[in-house]
Amino acid sequence: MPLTARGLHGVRWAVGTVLVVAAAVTAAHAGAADAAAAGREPSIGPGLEWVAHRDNPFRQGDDPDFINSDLAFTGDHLVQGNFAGFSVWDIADPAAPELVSAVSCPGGQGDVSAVGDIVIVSVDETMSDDSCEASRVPETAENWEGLRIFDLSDPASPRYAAAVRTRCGSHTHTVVPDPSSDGRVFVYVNAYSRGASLHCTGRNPLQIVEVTLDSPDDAAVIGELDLFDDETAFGPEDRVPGGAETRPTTGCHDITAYPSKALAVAACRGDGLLLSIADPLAPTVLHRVRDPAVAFWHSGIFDNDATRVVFQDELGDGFINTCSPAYGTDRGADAVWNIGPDGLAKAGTYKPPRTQSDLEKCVAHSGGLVPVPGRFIIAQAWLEGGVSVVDLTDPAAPVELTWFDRPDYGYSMDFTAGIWSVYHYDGYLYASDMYEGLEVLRLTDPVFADAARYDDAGLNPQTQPEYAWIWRDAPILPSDDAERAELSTLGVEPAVLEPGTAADVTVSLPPGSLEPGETADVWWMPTKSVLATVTAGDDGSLGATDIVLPGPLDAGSYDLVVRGDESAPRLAIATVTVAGPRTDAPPDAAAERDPALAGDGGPWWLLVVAPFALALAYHAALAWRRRRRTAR
Amino acid sequence: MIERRAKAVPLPTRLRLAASLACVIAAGAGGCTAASGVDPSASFITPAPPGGSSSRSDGGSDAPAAELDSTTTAADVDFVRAMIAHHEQAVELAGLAPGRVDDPELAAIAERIVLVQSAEATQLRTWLERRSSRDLEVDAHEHAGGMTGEISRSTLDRAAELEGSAFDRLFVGAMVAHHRGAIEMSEARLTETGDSAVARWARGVATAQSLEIDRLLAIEARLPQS
Repeated sequence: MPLTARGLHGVRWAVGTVLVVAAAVTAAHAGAADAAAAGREPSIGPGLEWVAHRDNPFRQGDDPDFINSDLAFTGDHLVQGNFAGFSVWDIADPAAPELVSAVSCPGGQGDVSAVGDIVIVSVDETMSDDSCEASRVPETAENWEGLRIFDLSDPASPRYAAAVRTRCGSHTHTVVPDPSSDGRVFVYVNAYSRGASLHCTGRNPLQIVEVTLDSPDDAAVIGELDLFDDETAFGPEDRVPGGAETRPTTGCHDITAYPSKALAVAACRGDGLLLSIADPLAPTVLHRVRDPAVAFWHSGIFDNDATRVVFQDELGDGFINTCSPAYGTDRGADAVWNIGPDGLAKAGTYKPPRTQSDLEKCVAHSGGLVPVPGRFIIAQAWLEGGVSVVDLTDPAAPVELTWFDRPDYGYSMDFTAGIWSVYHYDGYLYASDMYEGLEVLRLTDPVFADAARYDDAGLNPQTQPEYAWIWRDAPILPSDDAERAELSTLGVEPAVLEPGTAADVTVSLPPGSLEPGETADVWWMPTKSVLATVTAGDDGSLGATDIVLPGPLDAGSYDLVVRGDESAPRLAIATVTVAGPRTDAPPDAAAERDPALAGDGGPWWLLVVAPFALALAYHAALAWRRRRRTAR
Repeated sequence: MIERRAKAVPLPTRLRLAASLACVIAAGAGGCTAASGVDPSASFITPAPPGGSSSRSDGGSDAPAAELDSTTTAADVDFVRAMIAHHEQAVELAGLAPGRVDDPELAAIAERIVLVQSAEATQLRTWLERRSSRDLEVDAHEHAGGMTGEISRSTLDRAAELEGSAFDRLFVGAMVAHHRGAIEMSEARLTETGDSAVARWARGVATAQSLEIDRLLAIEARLPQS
């Protein structure tokens, strides 16, 4: 079934929009495959599954005033910016996103962030006023531009809480948490002068907006500073007769903050900056770099260790195709820079290997880290060049792992088109296509198993979280008995076993032991191996789970541990005892911490003591089981 | 016909209308129920302005955004036509650089100008062609005269006869003046209403060419004097 409105010129608005909605109907039933039937079947690389497509609910044919822009995530909600407002999607089931609301509030670019129930939207077009009924007016007319703050407490009906006017609007913005309060965030407003304007000329300072989460209506500018005050001030020689600035950097296009490292990278038109944000209200420039090969510093992404950053060069502003052999691999490309004590050192460049048609727009655009241990892998949008997932671990030899790339439209869009941004969230890639809508993709290669395991509570991709792969290292049990006794108790049935090659047991935890719905591992401590990976119930319990204890099981007592990804470092512990008939294994601490000792024999007196100790342990275990049963 | 009427209907109305039409069309296949896949809870809304809003109206806009946003104006056509010609001049001068230019960074800039400005000119021509078939009649030849920073035929002829740092100096001088002209033209468009795609282009041109001016001036400062 053809699902787009193209070609239906006469009644495009009506039929087109109906088809948009009808497409959502069909997609909900039939999934992504049908949505591709429009004749623009994408090329999809290996290890990538296209699980869902949803049309842009705002789309009006090829009108560029209704295109999607960036993405932000809060819990099970995805917020998708649009030049005409924003959409809220329920992504509890990533394969079946549901549109919760489409909020009409025009003003590009609609760069978005989400913090709890707050949605922040950038407006960088001069509008007639701050309302959602505003129209676009010339730069030189009286106008409003800045940040819009919405209250998403009712996701089906977001409330417009505050309009914060800024000097040069807000091309993008970056949320920086307040280190001293969970209830407040700072928002860096990224903007620059674009030519003759009533309010926005000269160098634009970095304005910082404060948003208090329980009173978003009071959001306001609380600070501003000039990141380029080491440069000479603007003078008349920097202006053309009409008044425009000819200085390369009049402000920043985008900033990516890495709060846990107290760092940020700023992509500021002609300059790339590394900032310290140790004091978020007073960021300072650590390093500044220019590069003749980089035309326009667009955005940056840190690796997880913050030892590298990849900058995007938006050569041609997204209006043209730079993904052709004529442009080579270092124009309109990604460039990786090593962060050293003396500054940034260029280490390599990357461009997707697929040549795009000149009817397409293609240049490095927005993306984010895919958290894989020990690797620097990003998923990034290249407009109509699609999505490219690339391993930059060796920046001199980047490797594209997979891709998602639609063919051209058969003609060239007026403004720009294709995929604006793509980000990894909760094991899926979410791609925002300007005209087409929302694409959900899943990386199926086992190398992404750790990335998929994250259960994110929210994500603003320009505020990078630090990823820790806690589940990859075995838990460390306290050696002190008193500390061991304080660990929560893992139920295990049976707790006493006969010696043998292996044994089946069942483990369980009562409600409240784990975080609701979190992923947890059952660890067999003698070999420090994971026997099962489980999901906590909605009440934080672990339902009865059958596991197989690997043999050989010699007499002794051994630890089983359950650790949840979110509740860590909290542990739950159970000790299983393997009883007679062999009595040469002492059920003491030494045996369980080093099973190799079991069966090795020991001093002669152990032969005397061991049977008593074993009997004692056996009765203790029985008593414990009785108590557990009674407790239930 | 219908499309024109649509432009005058504010977006939320259109979305509601579209949703109800969808129900009508979907009726044959089960109507607009939860089971049909159209989420009945999905709402298309236009929030009221916040407290202290600068809005002078509280809904019911008398100047629908689409009218201003999507109507191509004479200012758009003037700008696009002039910018195509302006870009072509830059491409012609930059195209002379191979074999003549001395400074390697300047050579790279010249190569980039050829690539980018010819691609942009193609995009601008596409935009223009799409509109020339519409009912918009503008005497382009009258209006395309307002170009500043033109690279004259005599400058191009002179450049063709120079090489080494003499070429470099002429190139920088002519290209800086050219780019400043492009910024002026972009700014002139930004004081007018029209197609917002063209306004975004104008901003992009002003931004990109101001960056390039700075780089050209930095190169000029280190060129050997004749």
